Amino acid sequence: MIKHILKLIWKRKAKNAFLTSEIALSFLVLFAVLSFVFSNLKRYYQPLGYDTEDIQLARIDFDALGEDSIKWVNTKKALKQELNQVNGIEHVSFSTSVAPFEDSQWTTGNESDEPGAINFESANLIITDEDYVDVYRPTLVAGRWYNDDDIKGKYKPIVVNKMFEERYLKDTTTLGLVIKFWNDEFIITGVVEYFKYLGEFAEEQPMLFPYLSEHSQQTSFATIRTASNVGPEIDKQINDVIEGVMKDVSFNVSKVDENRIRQSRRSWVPIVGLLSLCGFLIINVAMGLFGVLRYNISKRKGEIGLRKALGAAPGNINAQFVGEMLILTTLALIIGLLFAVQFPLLNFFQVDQDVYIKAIVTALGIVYFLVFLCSLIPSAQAAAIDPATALHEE
Amino acid sequence: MIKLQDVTKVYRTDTVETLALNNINLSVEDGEFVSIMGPSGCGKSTLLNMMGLLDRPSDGQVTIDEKELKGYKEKALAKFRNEHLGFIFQSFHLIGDLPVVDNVELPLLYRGTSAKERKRLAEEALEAVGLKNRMKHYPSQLSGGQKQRVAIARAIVGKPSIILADEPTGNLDSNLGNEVMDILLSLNRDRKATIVMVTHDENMALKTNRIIRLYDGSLVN
Repeated sequence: MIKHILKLIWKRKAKNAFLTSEIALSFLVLFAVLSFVFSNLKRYYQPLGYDTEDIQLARIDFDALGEDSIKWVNTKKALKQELNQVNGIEHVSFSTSVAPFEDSQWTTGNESDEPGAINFESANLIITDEDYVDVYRPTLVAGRWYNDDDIKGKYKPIVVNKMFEERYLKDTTTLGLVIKFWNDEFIITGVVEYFKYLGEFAEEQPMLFPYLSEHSQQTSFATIRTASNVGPEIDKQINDVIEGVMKDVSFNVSKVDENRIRQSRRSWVPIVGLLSLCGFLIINVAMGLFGVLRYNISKRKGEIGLRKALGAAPGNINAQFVGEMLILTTLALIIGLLFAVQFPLLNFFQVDQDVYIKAIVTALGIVYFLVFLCSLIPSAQAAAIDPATALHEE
Repeated sequence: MIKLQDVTKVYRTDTVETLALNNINLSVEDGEFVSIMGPSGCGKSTLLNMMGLLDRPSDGQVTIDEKELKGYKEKALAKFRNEHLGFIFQSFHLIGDLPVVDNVELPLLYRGTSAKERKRLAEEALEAVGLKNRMKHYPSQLSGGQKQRVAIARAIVGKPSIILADEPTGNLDSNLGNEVMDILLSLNRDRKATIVMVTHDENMALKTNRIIRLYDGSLVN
């Protein structure tokens, strides 16, 4: 029967070309949308690597303090001290202008011919202090976050993430390793598992957390961890403290968890939009297929009548038309696949191969299911055709 | 043997009722070649459809080879048609997108015959109608007479005991019509096939064993 159907399809290839192209194109569009969605979802389901609850982020215009480094040091010390004295505040940490969900990043690299130098193409930086670990609570897979002893040591302490270690420190022991960049030397004290600070849909990047000296004038954020049982009055207390210490310096305080939700919603927009468009496309393709099939069957009434006269049972007719559509779909999908497999093979858009493969398999499944569904009713109608009437009409 | 007892067929629409066959009683013996004649619209094709189990009577019953077929379901009827009946139509009803050999194989396809056996039997049937050399041709490459011979090959490929022919020479000129008629006569004579043929052509009908005449859905003596 399959050979018989193949012969019919081959002979009717010109008539089937439009339908085949429609199916192949639908598959490719579905594949593209699903690749985008799966790639985003894969990143979404990768752990953030740190806490976001009960953390408030104060962006403070420290630059307004001027260039007097003593004033900087004293102000920061006073701010930390005052904040720590507020009942319900557990930890306070300072960091540079990069913070989770703030859409800012700072990237650096190192290329050196010096013996023993560790070269890395690109890594993201958050320069911060020893309290950062208590505020965000990242998971450390080796070593520890730097402490007072590390700060007093010969080298500046630094923490890296697992991705940095895997990408750039494969052939060496990470903990205790001294790496040089920016004409400075840093000793690695710990490795955090993940730190997706660019957002839930962002890809994990190689990360460096160099120590932010108290003398540094690069500070932009004070990050505050509060106890989980504090009430909303803590917001006012934080504001009052910052206002009291920083005087006329401008600042604003936000909740990291709210920032996370806000950014997450923004990232869902293109995904939901594309999925909706895709849904409309599927409905349109389904309606088109349904119409084309019904038209084809009405054109083949005589053939159906003949087949029934010659001994085809309704089930045979049903199977033939569903079979024809599934074989035609297979041919269309082979054409579509030839294009789709180029993406994982040539590693377009730096998307993981498993994402492409999952998108291909899902798109194949959806197209087959759709075609099967759309061919059921017209095929059943074909099977119900009265042979005497069909032969007479012909 | 084909036996029709009190067969009546009424076509109903919302507003009109048409009596196509009125209380038909007839039998066709095994190996008989019978022609059905009558004016257009008298119910000849409807009668043939009843015998061919393509339509069900509104009343009465059709018995073929001692089998009363009234209670048969669609699937069982299809199987019965496939195994016992061969059809020849005025407009040939060949599938234009299939080569001759595949057209002839069609009844065997629904019998579950293997591809190899189908091909052998189709070749044999085409040889019987003198068209073995046209096996790979498409219907559009054949003349009217050749198309009807392909249709005959298709009707006999499954070795049915009964052949039902609806104006098989109606679309052919007299020479080609005679050619087709000769094939039918030889099938009746050599293979002992029972043939029921609807025709408008008195000369063709005279070549058969018996003529059944219909008028306004009723048999005429």
